[in-house]
Amino acid sequence: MRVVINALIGAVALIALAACGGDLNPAWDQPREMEGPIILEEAVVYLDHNFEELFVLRSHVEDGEPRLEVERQATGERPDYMVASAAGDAIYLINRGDETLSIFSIDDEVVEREDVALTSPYDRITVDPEGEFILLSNSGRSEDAVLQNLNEVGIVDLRDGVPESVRVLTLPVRAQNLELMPSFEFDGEPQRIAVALAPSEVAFVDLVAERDIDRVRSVPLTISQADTVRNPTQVVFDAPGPESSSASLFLLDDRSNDVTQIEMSPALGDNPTRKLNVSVNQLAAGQNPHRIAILDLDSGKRLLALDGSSPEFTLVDVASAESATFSLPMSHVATDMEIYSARDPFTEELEKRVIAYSRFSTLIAVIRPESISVGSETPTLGKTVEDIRLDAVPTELILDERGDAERAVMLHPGGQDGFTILNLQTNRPISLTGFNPSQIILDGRTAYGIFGNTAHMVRFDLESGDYWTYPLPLAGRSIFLSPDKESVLIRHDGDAGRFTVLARGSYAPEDALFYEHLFLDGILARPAFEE
Amino acid sequence: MKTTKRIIIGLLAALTVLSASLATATAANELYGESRLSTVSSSNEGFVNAAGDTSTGGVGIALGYELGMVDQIALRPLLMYDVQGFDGWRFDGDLRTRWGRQQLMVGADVGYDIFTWLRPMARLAMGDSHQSLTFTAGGQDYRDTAHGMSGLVAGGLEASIGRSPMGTDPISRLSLGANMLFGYTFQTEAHFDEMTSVDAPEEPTDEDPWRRATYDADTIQASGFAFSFGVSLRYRF
Repeated sequence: MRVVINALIGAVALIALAACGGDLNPAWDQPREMEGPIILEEAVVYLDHNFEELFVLRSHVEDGEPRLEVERQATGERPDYMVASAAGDAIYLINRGDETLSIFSIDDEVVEREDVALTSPYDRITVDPEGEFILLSNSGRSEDAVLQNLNEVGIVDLRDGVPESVRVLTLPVRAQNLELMPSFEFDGEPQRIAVALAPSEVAFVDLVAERDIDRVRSVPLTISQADTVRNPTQVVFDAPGPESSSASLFLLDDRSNDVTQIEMSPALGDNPTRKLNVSVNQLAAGQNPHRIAILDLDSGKRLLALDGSSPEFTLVDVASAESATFSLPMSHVATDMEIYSARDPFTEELEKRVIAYSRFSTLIAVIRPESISVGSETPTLGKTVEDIRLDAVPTELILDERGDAERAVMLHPGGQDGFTILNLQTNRPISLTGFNPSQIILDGRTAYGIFGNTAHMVRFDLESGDYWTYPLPLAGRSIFLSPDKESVLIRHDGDAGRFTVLARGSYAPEDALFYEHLFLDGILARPAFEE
Repeated sequence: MKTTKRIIIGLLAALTVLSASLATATAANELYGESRLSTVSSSNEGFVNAAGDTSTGGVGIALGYELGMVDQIALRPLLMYDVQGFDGWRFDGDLRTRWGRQQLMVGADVGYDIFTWLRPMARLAMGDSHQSLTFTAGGQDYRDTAHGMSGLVAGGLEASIGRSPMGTDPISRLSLGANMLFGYTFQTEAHFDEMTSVDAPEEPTDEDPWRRATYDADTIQASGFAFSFGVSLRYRF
């Protein structure tokens, strides 16, 4: 019987194929590859590699009911590499097939796509924090490009809208990393500088230069190429204020025990040979600086360096290059730091503070750099540097970067150590033991968290430490708050697209909506035949 | 979808006229039973996407009553029941797709007897159809069903064995036959716009309090070329 059916099917299939005349779309036979999520201000975005589409998810509440809307937008051919804009209002996507950069503008209602023609198979995108430029470059690790010029940078200038094509520049160095300095002004003229970090060399790309000679400027980090190669590991920028006449960047590398300061200032004279003057200084910043930050204090600019050999930090007065090193009340070298502003509980004044921590020390340190005068005596412990003892070693500090941070949450690694709420005004911890949250998002004085190994969500008050837990259908992997803050979206594992949407204030299971096959929405409408 | 409905209604009208014109023709009455294997082949995107192929197979039965002949032209009204379906795997096994269609149709064969054993014939039929689509992904089944109308226009050959002058013994009244038909199956579009969890309770319970969202899987229109091979048994009285 089966032989007869197969013969019949074969005969009719031949006729049908002749009638429709196309090969079946191979996208249906490959594993479903959904890349994401990328979090934007108004939406959560996935890239469907099989059908070359962007999935834009927006959660909201309609008549008290939580809902998840899906909007799909075609990409170019063979979409490959995707990042979000710094403002979180756009997606930049390189399409390898038709060699374009797609810019998707995504707001709360509309997704619009504009394409920029490329000339090279770029596979790296550098995002401008101010959204004026996009820099494209080659990693040298592309598997399918025949040739890649590793010194090439593609510049997409968005200041007058999306251009039709990319501007190409070949640098004198192979950039390991590209960074954009914040915008600043010299004599009222806006300046935009990109920095290419290369072995033993830094190249400045003047994105707004009018003369070719001013476009690229290379600064060596060693006297000779024969010297030991110095690979830049961290760069921080000091954009000048309105009155200042120079901009600086501070560079750490993997060989030197000094911080390299590269200063730019406008060239003087009516017709200078170069637009900018560049000078290089070496700043002593402790024995072995391995993390640096720039602090703009009332008393002037300070460079703060965490030491990589001992639990110490060094403050450097950028203007005078004077420095002073202080101990951190920690049992291990500080590996990470966060800068925030907090109000002094006694004087009510807002001041800059730095929290330094290590993944190997339950003691963390809060530094009050405003109270430290560089070059004078060691600060009194407990005033300029305070310690906080946690119940477990920290992994990640989460604080609200948009406002003056008064509370932060410290996550701990694996197991059942729970998490810690830090009062950044009084430097007091509140420990909540239990399962470890895998992600926490802050919303004013309320925070939401999910756990990697239990199907629950936690909501807690950052002021009091009061908390409430709610069951979820599955353990969460990511949690997002909708822009109107009326709904919470939780992503679960699952190739078919598993999500739970909850309306704010209604967290009971019967009020939630659980999506198990979100990525199969409208699936049969995809192309069946090769085009 | 409107075009398909128009075609099916046209078929129905043609059947009615044909039946009426031959209704008065009477000769030896004959009961007819048939079972067959059938295939349908479609280039509809929804069908191909779900099946992973352009065609699928099924089985069917038909019961008929031959009204008689006028100048070797015979009319045989039929009641037909067909089941077709597929069980496909998409995305390298990430998604299982199961589709089924049941058709209950009334129709008629119109044939012209050559010799005593060979009959070129045409078959027209139309009726009701019921389709179901099940997606299984991540261990979860979601299903939706759709009602619609089906039709068939086909032509082919029927051959009979043991067809001798009717005697009094029952054996001489029986004859075996085989037929092959090629034609086109019409089907209204099925929109699977409420794919619903199969395993979850209809109302939330203490054990499973979660409300699952339904989704729209889009459409399948399983119209296309049809081919069938049937064996039949006829009894004259």
